[in-house]
Amino acid sequence: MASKDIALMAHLMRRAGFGASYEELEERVAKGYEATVEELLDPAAYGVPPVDNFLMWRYHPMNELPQAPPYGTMNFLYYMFTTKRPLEEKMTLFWHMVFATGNSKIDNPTEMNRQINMFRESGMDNYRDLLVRLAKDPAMIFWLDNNMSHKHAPNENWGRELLELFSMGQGNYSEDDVKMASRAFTGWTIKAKLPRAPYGRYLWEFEYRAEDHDDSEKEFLGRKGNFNGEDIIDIILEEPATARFIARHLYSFFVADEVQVPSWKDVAPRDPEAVQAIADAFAGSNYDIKETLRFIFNSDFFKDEAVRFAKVKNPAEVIAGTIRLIGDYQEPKPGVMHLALETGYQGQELINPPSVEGWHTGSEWIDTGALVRRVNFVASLLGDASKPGVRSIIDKLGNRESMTADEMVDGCLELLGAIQLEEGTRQQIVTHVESGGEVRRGSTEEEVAAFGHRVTEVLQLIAAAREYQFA
Amino acid sequence: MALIQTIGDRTYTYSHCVGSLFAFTAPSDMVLRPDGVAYVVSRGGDPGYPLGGRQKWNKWDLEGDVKIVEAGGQGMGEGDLMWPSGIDIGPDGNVYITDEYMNHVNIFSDDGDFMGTWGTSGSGEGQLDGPTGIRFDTDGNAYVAESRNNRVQKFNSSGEYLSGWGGAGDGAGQFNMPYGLHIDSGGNVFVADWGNDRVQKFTPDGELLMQIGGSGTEIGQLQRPTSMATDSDGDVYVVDWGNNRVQAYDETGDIITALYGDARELSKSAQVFIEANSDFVKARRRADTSKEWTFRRPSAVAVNDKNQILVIESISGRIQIYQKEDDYLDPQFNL
Repeated sequence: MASKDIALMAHLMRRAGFGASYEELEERVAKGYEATVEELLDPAAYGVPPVDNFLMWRYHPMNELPQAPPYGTMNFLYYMFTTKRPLEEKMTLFWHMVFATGNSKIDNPTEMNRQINMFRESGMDNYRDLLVRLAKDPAMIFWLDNNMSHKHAPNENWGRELLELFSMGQGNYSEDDVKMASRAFTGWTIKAKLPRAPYGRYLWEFEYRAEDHDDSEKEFLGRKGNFNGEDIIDIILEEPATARFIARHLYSFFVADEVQVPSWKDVAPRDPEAVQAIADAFAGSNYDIKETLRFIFNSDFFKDEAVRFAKVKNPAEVIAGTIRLIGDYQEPKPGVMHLALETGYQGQELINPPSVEGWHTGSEWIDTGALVRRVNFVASLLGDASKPGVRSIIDKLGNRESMTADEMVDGCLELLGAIQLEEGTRQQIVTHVESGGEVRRGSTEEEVAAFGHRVTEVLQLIAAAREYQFA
Repeated sequence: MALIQTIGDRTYTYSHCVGSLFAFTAPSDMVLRPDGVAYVVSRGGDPGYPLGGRQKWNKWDLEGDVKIVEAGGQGMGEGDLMWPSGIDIGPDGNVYITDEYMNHVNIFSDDGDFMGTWGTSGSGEGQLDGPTGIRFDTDGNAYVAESRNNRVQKFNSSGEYLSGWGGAGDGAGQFNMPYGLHIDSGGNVFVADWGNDRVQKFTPDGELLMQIGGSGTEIGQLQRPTSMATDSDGDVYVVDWGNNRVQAYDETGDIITALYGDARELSKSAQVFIEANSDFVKARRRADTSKEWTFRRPSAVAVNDKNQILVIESISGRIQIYQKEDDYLDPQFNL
């Protein structure tokens, strides 16, 4: 099987999923690139089952309507670890990072779970429908104070962020537009809720209160009318800035890291033509997200070798990618809670972004503490030869009785998903292997174990390399 | 939902409820003592959570709605619990708890002191892999269901293997991740065949007598059943965990009716909590409390000698109690 096909498939699966084992890459290459894209885009049509919630809830009963925040994160991670629909989950993460809503204020991981599930259900459908669902999502309403926005006292938080962070981006609307959007969404609120005790969480419910809605005439982005919330969303979608804004998000998430969102009004995109092409596909498909993703994954700019490893992995990708690579947690088992907390230790506490702006991405994922944490996390797991995915790599390399140090390092890089290292880094690892003497699999139990140890050592050194932090 | 359901010649009257989140934390099984004490095992949260997973079992006074004994605790050491699943009172008066992760049965005294452990991990005769439901028969033998070995094994009161049956699959007598287990007054063994959405009834020697359920949400169908109980008339109650209800079948397996939960008033212990927190009182007055009435992931059912049907809920941590009436006289329909 041509290595370049594996490398391209590995690139696709890192971006449209959480990476893949070498066996999965081989299967997908045999199936074909376009066919894989289609399956990722529409898994139900290809008979790919969703995550079995009943199985999760049987063994993790607190995940269903969690009281404490880590159980909400556990729920999300369980999906990332076990889903057979990786793009669906990746889009769930994408929208969570764009429509950033934080449990620090919601204080209700059950509602956060519900919002995450909404992204899972609708994240690849139509953007307009998604925005309407978002505007009615109780967690979002509470997060941005729309339940405090009244006919005679509108609150501008939701109206502002809808324009600034969820659709058009700064510089494309006026302060008056923020006020008008806010007035249009008055009356979009939440029913009074039951307290969390004595019987646990109950889902909140959206409520439209006509008597608290400002039905008077508004002027929004140059249009006049007695606008309600959905009219505002329709007008937003008529503005070219909206497609460009979401296109840049998609480019940054799937293709190559962009600067942070607040800089977008001042800094041109890294690849303006690609972003415009995505925007055209988005608007041209009437904001069909699936169509837009199909365009991205089949485009030359996505397949270009120049954008491979051009993104710093976010912590969710680090953790879910490693767990899937080593083949752990594929069935329910205790300990997911530690991994839920690990997302926060690495700087991305899922269901709790630091603000409505979301996490700063790209190189900002990395600081001294986070880097050490990431490297130690991955290296410790890749060093465990009892994990099925690690075992598989050792066994594959052990097909040959002996090999050079170069062959061993290159084999590990290939089996980790066609990882590329700078030549200097690669050579350092080769030198280390050479210092351990001739590489032989051997035949006795001790020799085979020693060979396995040398393999895991190389895997750990690769995981510690700067290049491994990129997707 | 109605507080009184009369279907044919059966009448079920909702009585009251007991407990709350503070009593039971994701309970997975419950058995009753004739003097009104419930023994409940709670699965708790993920054992990896450093703040404690609340794996425990407790004795609960149903009349006073208060705790008598609580024991267990998260961990992998002696007397600790990881994935506690089933609970029963043995012929020696001790409390037996299966641990689906640790592959053993922990034994506690009635006062909660750890007494010892049964079982080793494996798939051989007498070994355990994923022990879930456990029930003792009147001879003091224990039947244990195993979710990963997909079988039922019978042990004597010392934990020595006597017999077993089953196997993985969806054929007659096979299992897919079995959960709860029940023994009726005739010594027959009911197994909640969780993954196959059915209940299977066997003789004490493992001969298949009857199957109940089938996948679906229609009345009589099941989604991931977890527990069974039988009353003095032979009617069978099955916890339809996935459908949030308990279904009643006659002794031939014909559906009678379904119970969905009717807890319109708080339990005593919940009321104490609410009254001690005035903001909770106010928050409840502004909200629609009808959402609270229904079952949320019922996990176990038990019937006492008064033909009361007790249903414990995994999410709400509550026991709802129904009375099956003997001589109920239905009022005139067009009253």
